[in-house]
Amino acid sequence: MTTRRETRPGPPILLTAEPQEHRVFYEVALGWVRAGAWMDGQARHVALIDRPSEGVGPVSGWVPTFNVPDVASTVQSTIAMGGQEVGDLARGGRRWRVLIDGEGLRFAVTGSPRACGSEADGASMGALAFLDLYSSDTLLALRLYQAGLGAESVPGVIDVDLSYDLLVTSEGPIAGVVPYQALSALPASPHWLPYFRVRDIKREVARIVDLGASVRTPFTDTPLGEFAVLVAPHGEAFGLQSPRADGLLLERAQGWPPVDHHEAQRKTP
Amino acid sequence: MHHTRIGWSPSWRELAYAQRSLVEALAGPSPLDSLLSRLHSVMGRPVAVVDRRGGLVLSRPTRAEWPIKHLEGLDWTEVVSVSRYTALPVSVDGEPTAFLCVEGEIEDLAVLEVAGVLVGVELSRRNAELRGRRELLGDVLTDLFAGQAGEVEATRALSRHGYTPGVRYRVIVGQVNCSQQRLRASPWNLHSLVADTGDSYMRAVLEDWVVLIAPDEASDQLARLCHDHLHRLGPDVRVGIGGPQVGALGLKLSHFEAKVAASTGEGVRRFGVEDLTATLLGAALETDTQVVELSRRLLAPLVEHDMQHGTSLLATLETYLSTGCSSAETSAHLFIHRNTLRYRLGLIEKVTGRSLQVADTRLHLWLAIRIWRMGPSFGVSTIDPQDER
Repeated sequence: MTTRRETRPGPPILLTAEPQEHRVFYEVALGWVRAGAWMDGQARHVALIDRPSEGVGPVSGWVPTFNVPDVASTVQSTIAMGGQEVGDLARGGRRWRVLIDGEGLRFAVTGSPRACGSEADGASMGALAFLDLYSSDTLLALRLYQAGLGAESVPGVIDVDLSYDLLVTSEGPIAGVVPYQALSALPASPHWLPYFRVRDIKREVARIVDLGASVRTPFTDTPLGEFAVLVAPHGEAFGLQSPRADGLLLERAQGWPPVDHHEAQRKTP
Repeated sequence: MHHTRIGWSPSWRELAYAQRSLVEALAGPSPLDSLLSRLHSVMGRPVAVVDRRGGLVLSRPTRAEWPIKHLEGLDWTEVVSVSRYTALPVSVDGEPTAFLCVEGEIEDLAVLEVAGVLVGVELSRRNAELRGRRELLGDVLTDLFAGQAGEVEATRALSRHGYTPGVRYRVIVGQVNCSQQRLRASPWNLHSLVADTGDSYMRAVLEDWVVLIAPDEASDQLARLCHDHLHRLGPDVRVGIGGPQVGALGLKLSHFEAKVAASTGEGVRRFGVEDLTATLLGAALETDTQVVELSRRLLAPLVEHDMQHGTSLLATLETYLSTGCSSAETSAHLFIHRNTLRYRLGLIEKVTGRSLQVADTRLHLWLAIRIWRMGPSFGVSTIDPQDER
């Protein structure tokens, strides 16, 4: 059994060739405020949007970041499980070490102290609420992230037909792992999907569609809370999640309620 | 794309039951959710409503994801089987607006067609409600733009439609070559209809103009989307963005600026301070002041002199004024000697009966030249667009 370490997600990084256009979109869509490459919500960093750097490689899309207690150990464990280190990313006064997992997906780790005061509070509106990893090999992914991030996997249970695992550290649930092949006809590439917290998902989906986004998954109520997934005008997907999901994810991470597939089936629309 | 109809085929009894079940769904508290759930149950396979931008509006099961990009570029008026699913067009107020999709190829389309009609009926009902709300907003804006509402009264009325005092707004206007009925009826955002939230941003149709009141920071995106939407309705799309304003009465100026910007040509155009002459012209046109005619009359002596004597007094005056009344620059630009320029300027003063040493005269003539040059295009594109149709 993996020991749960004090790993927690940090503001995600969106790497793109057109950072300015993305910043403008998210400013309006999620109410963020531009502060250089940083996007702030309630005077705290909620995401970073910038061009890819040479060290990170020609990548675009969301790169999750994690604050880990021991960066060297995280890098070592990740490499031991088949991952690689691709370089350093320094932006907005912060530095991350960028790793790739067995499917080639990037994630970044940093050892910033907890009380840095620069990142969004857990419950801030518009801030990162959760992460999903859409993986083609969930077992491989779970093994790597369990070892690298010091997480345990807990069955999430959204749907009887869909395996969904939570990565849980001593700080709580930090990400979910979804086998994307199980979802019919999803674009065939693994990716990270950040969820941002909003109060009224239906209303926000309608509003953000007015700004040019399209909907990949409409409003969905699950035993782990309400969510929706949109695709920004420039192509990257992002999710919206209700504040209620925070508590439900935490309960599930603590093993409560016990997994009951029949109950899950009844709750799923 | 093809029309193969193999696979699921219900018996007449199953068909009757399915149709009844679907119709009954509309009477429930969440008609569309219920309808999709029942269709999913009846057909035993994933079903979804997909909008024209390839976005999922409703889906059962909800986690199912669809290869919706395949719908782009398809004809929205016929049933298609593409990439392992069947898609039936759904019309809202007579406008093909969505596809009702079901996984797999369907032998008998009867149930799907009933469901498609019911989805269209429910969305049309909600669209009618939304149109009613837009008409109320339209009344408020009409009064505001006509100067028949004060700040307090307009703020109170606009607040019922999502207006927040103190926020910086821009007015966006859009015009397209299509019927007013279609402009009013065409649904903008199916997600607003499904969620029953109303328009996310204030939107109305005033005569043949779409008018949006947008927060400053969202105005560019909303203007582009407005252009895309209007482009689906017809040709000659003009979208204008007015300047940012705080306060309800400021919207009147922003509306005017947006119309001036839109009137300068097709596409999305933002009002800028460099458009002062255009603004004056637009203002004059709005109030039926005959500025083009006045300009023509003022410049007529120069034009007639040029025609009768083969001179270039108008061009000389225009160059002289546009160089800030610099004799050296004007001479160089026109390839004439400074004495020739001095002679022409004297002749211009004589013919017009006005002294070019007076600042008012220079401004007067400059505006007249600009308005006279711009006049014809304004006349075609904004004074009465109906003429073009």
